[in-house]
This record gives sequence, C-alpha cells and structure tokens, in this order.
Amino acid sequence: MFACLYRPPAPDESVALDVIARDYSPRYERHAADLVSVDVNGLERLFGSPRAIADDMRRDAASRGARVHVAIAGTRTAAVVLAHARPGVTVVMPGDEADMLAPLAIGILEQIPDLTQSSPAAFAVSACRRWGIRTLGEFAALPPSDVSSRLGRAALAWQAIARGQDVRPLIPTLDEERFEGTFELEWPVEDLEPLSFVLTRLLEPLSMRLERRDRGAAVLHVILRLVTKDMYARRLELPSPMRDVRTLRTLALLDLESHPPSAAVDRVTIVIDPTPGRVLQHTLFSRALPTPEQLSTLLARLGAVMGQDRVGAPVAVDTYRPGAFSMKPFATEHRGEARGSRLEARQPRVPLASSLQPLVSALRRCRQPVPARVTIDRGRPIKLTTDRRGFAGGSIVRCAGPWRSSGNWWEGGAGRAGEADRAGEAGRAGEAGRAGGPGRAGTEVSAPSTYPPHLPYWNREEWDVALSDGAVYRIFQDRDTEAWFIDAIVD
Amino acid sequence: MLQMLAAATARGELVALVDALDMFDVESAAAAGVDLDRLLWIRGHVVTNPGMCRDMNQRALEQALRAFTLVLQAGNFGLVVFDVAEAPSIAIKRLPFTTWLRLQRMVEGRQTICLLVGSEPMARSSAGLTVKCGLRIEDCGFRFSDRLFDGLNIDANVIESRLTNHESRHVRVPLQTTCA
Repeated sequence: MFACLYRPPAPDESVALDVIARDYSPRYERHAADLVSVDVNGLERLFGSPRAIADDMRRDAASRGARVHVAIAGTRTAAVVLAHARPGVTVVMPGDEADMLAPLAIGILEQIPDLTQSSPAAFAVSACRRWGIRTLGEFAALPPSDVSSRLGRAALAWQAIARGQDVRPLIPTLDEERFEGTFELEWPVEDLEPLSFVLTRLLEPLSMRLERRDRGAAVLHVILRLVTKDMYARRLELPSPMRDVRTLRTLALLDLESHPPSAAVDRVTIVIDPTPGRVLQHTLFSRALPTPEQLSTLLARLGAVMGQDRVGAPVAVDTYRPGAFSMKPFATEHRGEARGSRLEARQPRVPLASSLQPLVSALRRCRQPVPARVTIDRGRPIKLTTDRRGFAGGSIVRCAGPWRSSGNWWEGGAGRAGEADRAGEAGRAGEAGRAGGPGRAGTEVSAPSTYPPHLPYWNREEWDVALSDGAVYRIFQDRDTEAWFIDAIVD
Repeated sequence: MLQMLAAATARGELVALVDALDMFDVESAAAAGVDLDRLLWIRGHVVTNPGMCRDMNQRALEQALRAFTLVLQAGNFGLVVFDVAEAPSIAIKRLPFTTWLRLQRMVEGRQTICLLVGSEPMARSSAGLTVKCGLRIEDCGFRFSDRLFDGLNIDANVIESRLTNHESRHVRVPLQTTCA
C-alpha cells in the first residue's frame, strides 16, 4: 500500500515533507515540495493498521508544524489523488480505489502533478468538460479505444489515473546512492556494435551494485556526448524491474538502432533509476513462462522488425462494427496457472476437437474489403466474381442473408455522401450497361476500385455465400454505393 | 488453429500468432475461447494490391518469418503459429527450404508447439505432423438452415506423421463447425 502526504498552500512551509516520509520508509518519492508518496508495505508490524499509520503520520507532521492531508490506498495514484481531494486522513482498502475516486470532480486531475510524464491534463480535462463529463468515474467508464482515438494515447494514462491505476512504478528518491557510470572513449565510436562492448562494461558493475541492494532497474537512461559536443539522451522505461546485463544492453542497443545519434560518440553515461527487485517463485506443477526480461527483449526486437503498432495483444471492441478490434501492449508478466481453479485446469474448459463437439467457425478478415461483382436474381446473389487473385469466383449454390448493419452514421456523413455519389455513379453506370435496374433478374453490380478505408461509419447488407467450388465467403453490399465486397473468408 | 490457441491459453500458456497476411479475426478468437491477454499477435505488412512494387509482399513474408524466428528463439511459449493460409503457394515456395529445417531444429526438444498454417504442406520432411483440413466431400461441406449459415462439415486428414507408426497415417477425423 502507498501513503501520500500533501500539504495545502500555507504561509509557513518550513518543514520538508520528505523528512517526515523518510522517518517511515526509505522508499518514498518526492513529487514536489508539498507532495510526497511513501511505500508503506510491511509497516503494519511497527505502526499497526493502515489507519494507525495515517494517523501517526498526520500527528508527526502536526508536531513539526505542518498541516497535511494523508491518504493511504492500494495504488500510489489513488493515494495521490485522494490526498489532494480530501482533507484529514483517508484510508482506502485495496480494490476500492476506483469506487472512492469515482465521485471526485474531473478538475482534480489538473491539480495533481504529472504522474504520466507525457502531457498535461488540461487538454483531457477541457475535452471531458465539453462532453459533459463531470466526475472521474464518468471519465473512467469511457471506452479506452474511443478516448485514445479522440484525445491521443496520452489521455489513456489520465484515464488510468481516473481509475486509480498506477501508470508507472514508484521511483524512490535516493540521495545517498546513485546508479551511474561513465566511460570516456579515447577514440569516438560511430557504429553501434563497438558501443555494445562499452555498454556491457558500464552495465556489469551497475548490475552488481543493484544486486547487492536487491534492486532492479525501473528506468534506464543512456546519455551520449557526441563529437559535436551535443548531449544525446535516451530514456527507456522498463516494463518490470530487471538487472540482467544482456537484457539491458540489448534493449539499449535496440533503442539506439531505432533512434541513432547524429554524430560519433565520445562519452557514454548510463544512469539507472532503481526500484525493488522482483521475487519469483517457480512452481513444479505449471510450465515455465517466458521471463519478463525475455519478453521485453522479444517485444523490442519485434517492434524493430515489424513496427511498434504491429505487435501486441488483441482486444475485442464493444461495438457492432464488423471486424473491429484494437491492440494493447503485450503484458510482460503473466501468472502461470490455468484459468479457474487447479481442478478446472486439469479439465480444460475448451474441449479438444472431436467429431461430437462442434468447433466455432472462424473468419479470416480482409482488412481492406475485396471489390467483387455480384449478380442478383430475385433479390438474392447468384454469382460472384472478382479480379483479385487468390479469391475464388463462380456461381453461388447457397446463401444466407441479408443481414443489415449500420452504425456511427452520426459521425461526419457529409464527406461520405460525396464519395457515395461518385462511387454510386460509377456503379450505376456499369449496371446500366449490363442490365436493368436494381431488383430485376440477372442484375450484375460492377466492382468499384476500392472500399473507402478508415471511415467511422458503415451501412451494409451482409450475406454468407457458398460457391460451387466450395469456398464460403461473407460478402456485403455497401448501401451508400451499392457496391459489393468480400469481407471475410469462412474457415 | 483457434481451438489450439484456446486450449493452450486455457492451460495457462502464452501463445503467439504471426499473422503474415493480417487476416486474424479477434471476434472469432474470442468466441472460440482464446484468452486474448495471453496471445501475442504479430501483424504482417502484406498488402492486397502491391501495384508496381511486386517484391513488396515477398519481403513482408520474409519479415514475418523473421518475427516468427524471434518468437521461437525467445522460447517458453506454449504454441507459436505462423499463419499464411491465404498466401499464394508460389510465394511460400520462394522461401528457402532450409528455413523449415532451421525452425524444426529450434523447437526440437522443447515444449513449444510450432504450427504452420498454409494452403498446402510447407515444411515437408521437417514437419512432425501434417494435417489437411478440407470440406467433406460426401455432403456439400457447408450447412445452411432456412435463412442462416450454420457452419461447415470438415474432414481433418493426417497425411504425414513422423512420430507414429505407418498405420496411424491417413486417419480421418470428421469435424463440424458452428457459427458463433
């Protein structure tokens, strides 16, 4: 649990809060002169319950002449927010943070220091006010994908704060020991390969010192002095505490490969922000998972090969939009146990394939729908052809539909109308050349060039069709343009 | 593929999917019971219409293969899938044959299952088990009710197995799929 001490603006500011925090735990972070957060895990034996710890802190501050707000919560973020919002002592049990924060006014985000280290909260707060959102609970309830698409990724961090989730680990304020190493190069280094040896030489003693202190690296700073006398600094926030030299070196090198310095390097400095090390207990009964170090390195390598936006964990989106999805960063720490209890794990919920138990039909989505020509007879598709290689065409032997789907029509329809007119004219021109109007027997609708990508709205009629050669497709007719597309392959 | 992913994640394993053609449907996976938090999804850069840049897709395929190799090298994943099911066979054949031998050496002796999904057998002699899934020929292969698509009737045929005796080859397993 974390405690937060906040001193409201007062004429007498002689007592430093970090002096009070240091009396309770060496693990404290000084956010500002009037705000300190303290890791109070393990203090129960000395001071008693969290309420007793908070009361003791407040009395101690009062005896030194400071009137402070004290909040204790399961997450540091919740403690910081509650210390700003509530005078006196506030204690929240782990798990109740979101409920306690929910009724607070959204404007509180502007008062707390920038925990996200990304962007100020004013932008997110003003946008929320325009939308009529007044409390943190209302902000927290918004779908993250929509918040990200409208306000950018930085707003997700503010939403996490509104939910009481920590956006970064506590970085202790340490005066006495600094994990830092510097290496002056006799000759400047231009390539990254020789730099890897320098990094290893710097990281090895730092790793040993971290191990002696039972610490891991939370943030790795690589500061390079270039031959142009400019300083080039990179900051790596590590997903979990680590001190393995090879992992740290690989992550630093991969980052420098992605963001190379502009000139040769003549001095290398490594600074590590420490955090308590992880305690891992492997079990004999579950298989080993990749360690956070392995996963961090793998994700960094994959990001360098494929691009950061192409790697992650899929997220199902709460929408009716066909094929909608989003991605989130792949977590580096997982529990090894199977879902549910150990007894359930021996009998997995997902049945193995057998002739008696039906499987779920999977779709293979065409991210860019494939234009198709469809012949209609009595309102039903009877023939499908496409110019795209790899897709079968032919007569349709069975079909199911139509299923009408539309949504987000309230978002910017003007632009689409113009597009629809243009595509519709093209489609109707082809249609007129071949057959009669819509609904008449043997009508063939020509294929447009492409489906307009990334439109927020959709309006379509879907069909599941089986072709004579055995292929099964999900096709749709865009109701604005009357053009047909292959949306997915049924697998 | 989805059933294997779902079973592996239900056992508490981490799984990875190298989706070379970026055709993975998240809704289908969720319906099949895949724990999405345990799935590392790597989306390929293959484009449907490369125009004049004809080598672009081949390079993207090789890039996806490199990502697949990295995941196998990392180790300790329960199941790693390389999905190129809709890729043209000529593009797969252009990949060096030694690729599959190298991948087989990577997973040999480990607990990781390496699954290649393609329109035809890819790994050939380095494959451990080759299963061909296709629509059942006896009936038409798909089931439609009044106005609904119900699912597919599939036959899974074991056409090659290095691990079992000769009699267990050419085993046919009838399967049925249903719409989620």
